[in-house]
Amino acid sequence: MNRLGLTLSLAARSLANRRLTATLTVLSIAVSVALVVGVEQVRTEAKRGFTNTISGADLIVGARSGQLNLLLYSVFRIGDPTNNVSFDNYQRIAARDDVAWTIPISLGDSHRGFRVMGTTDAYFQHYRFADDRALTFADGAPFKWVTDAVIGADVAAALGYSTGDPIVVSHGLGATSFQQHTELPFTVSGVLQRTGTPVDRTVHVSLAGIEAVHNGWARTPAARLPVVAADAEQDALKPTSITAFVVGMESRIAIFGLQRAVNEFTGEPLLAIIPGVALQELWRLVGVAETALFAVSAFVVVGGLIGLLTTLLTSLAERRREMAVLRAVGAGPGLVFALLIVEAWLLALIAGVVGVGVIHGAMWFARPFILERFGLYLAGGGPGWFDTTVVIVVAAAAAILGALPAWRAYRYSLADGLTVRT
Amino acid sequence: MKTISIQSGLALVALLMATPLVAEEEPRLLAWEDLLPEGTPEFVIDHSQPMDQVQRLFDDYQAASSGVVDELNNQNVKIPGFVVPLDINGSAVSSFLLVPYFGACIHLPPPPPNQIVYVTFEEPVELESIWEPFWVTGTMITETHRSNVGEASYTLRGEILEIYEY
Repeated sequence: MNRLGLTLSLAARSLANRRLTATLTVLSIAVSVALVVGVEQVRTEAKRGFTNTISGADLIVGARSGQLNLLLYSVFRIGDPTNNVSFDNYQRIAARDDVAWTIPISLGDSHRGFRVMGTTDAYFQHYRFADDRALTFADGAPFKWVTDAVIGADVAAALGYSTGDPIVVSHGLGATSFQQHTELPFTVSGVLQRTGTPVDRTVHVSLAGIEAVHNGWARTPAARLPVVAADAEQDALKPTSITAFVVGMESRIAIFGLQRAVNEFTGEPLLAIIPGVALQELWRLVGVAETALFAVSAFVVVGGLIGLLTTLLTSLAERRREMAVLRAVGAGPGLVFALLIVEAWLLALIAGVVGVGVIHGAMWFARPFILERFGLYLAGGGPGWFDTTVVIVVAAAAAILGALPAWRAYRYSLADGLTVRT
Repeated sequence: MKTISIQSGLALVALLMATPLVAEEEPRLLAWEDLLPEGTPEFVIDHSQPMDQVQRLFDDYQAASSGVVDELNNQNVKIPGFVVPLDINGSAVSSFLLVPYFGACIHLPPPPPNQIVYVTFEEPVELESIWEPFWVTGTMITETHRSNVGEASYTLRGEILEIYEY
């Protein structure tokens, strides 16, 4: 047996002899490693989730506010629009030669806490998420009638809806809106395949549907008259305004040109943003919080390592006899030194592997729950280079810290001989 | 035994000497002026003129400066600029617009078409920040299409994206 093998097996057996403290030390470091890896995993997945929400869109146009504000309310349904875009101006911009396609978005209503979004067929044709994936239907088809609605996967799952079910849209946002548009119930015409984006939590209706609901609501304060004829052709109800629209360009080189034209638009104050640029702005904003989170979890690892050091140092006193025996059977003081280093390294390595394994296992198990509760899809994909790096760094740090108890053991073993003075 | 070692030694020397010839050509360093075809007028904003006049001048300038330098086609080039990300995955980008100055996406006026390079990467590359300039190395493709969008443009098949060191 070579020297390293001998040291390893000695360290392992010595540790096995002190199972309880060794296990507890491993646990405390494992928990800290799991925390670091978990934080990083959630961070990257959240980022991926955000960037996966919209793909292939060149510009987003809305009322003039800020680029982050516009991005958040139009794509992520976070926050509220500041103002609307008149439908005429939307059509004017959509008709430009350099515009390939547009998706109008009209927000403002809700259904049992889920956002209702008015749009057109273009949404199902052109909306892309996660690396150019198109929306697909799990069941049913896009809306054909004014009162048709297409619901996201989360809406279907949470409210137990399927194709053909009636739903009632209420004005404003919130789980319990009392001003309900009961005079115009919608019918679910289709359910979308899960996307892992805010689309899953959205009820989509036609622009005319939104208009129909509001006309009826405006004209009958007491919600009495059966106003707008259900199943009317969509052309009959032309909207006056929309919240925002997504633009796809004929040529991406022309993005700046259109952006400038929109921002210079004299008809009304409009703002055009490039989603990628706005997202970068968002990362810069949340970057501070990310750094803070990472710092906290790093400090927990430091705490775990100090715990390891404490355990090793306190164990030295009771192990002086063990060292003395080792010396007596011919182990040099160098071996004693190496033994302690290897012990620290081994503990941290096991802890790292356990921590990474536990957190990935936990995430795998909790995935459906987290998706349902927080709308965050943890793609997982097993441990990656980050996890490997964390384990290596923690093990290396432990080995370096192990030098302190190792040096003390080395000194003891030189001084003590077989007669341990305690 | 000895002869063999001498032979292999000679072979090694020959290989070392040959390497610079076999190795890929260094990418041609480009400045943004190199993308302008000869005779492109310079655009100077005359602030004494009314704004809409300047606007019109600028539009004319845009239309006039849409030509490309054809000899750059299929060349291996390296060009510095700012990144305006288009397709993002996490913190990696697979396509972006490279522009000569920061804030091209916000401030007016935007660069003319031949001062914008559309860069695509087959494998998405990590983008640390859009507030820093980058070097992009890759193969330049020039296209001249006079559609109703009516512009000639540069497309770069990116291979390396690296931060610009001042």
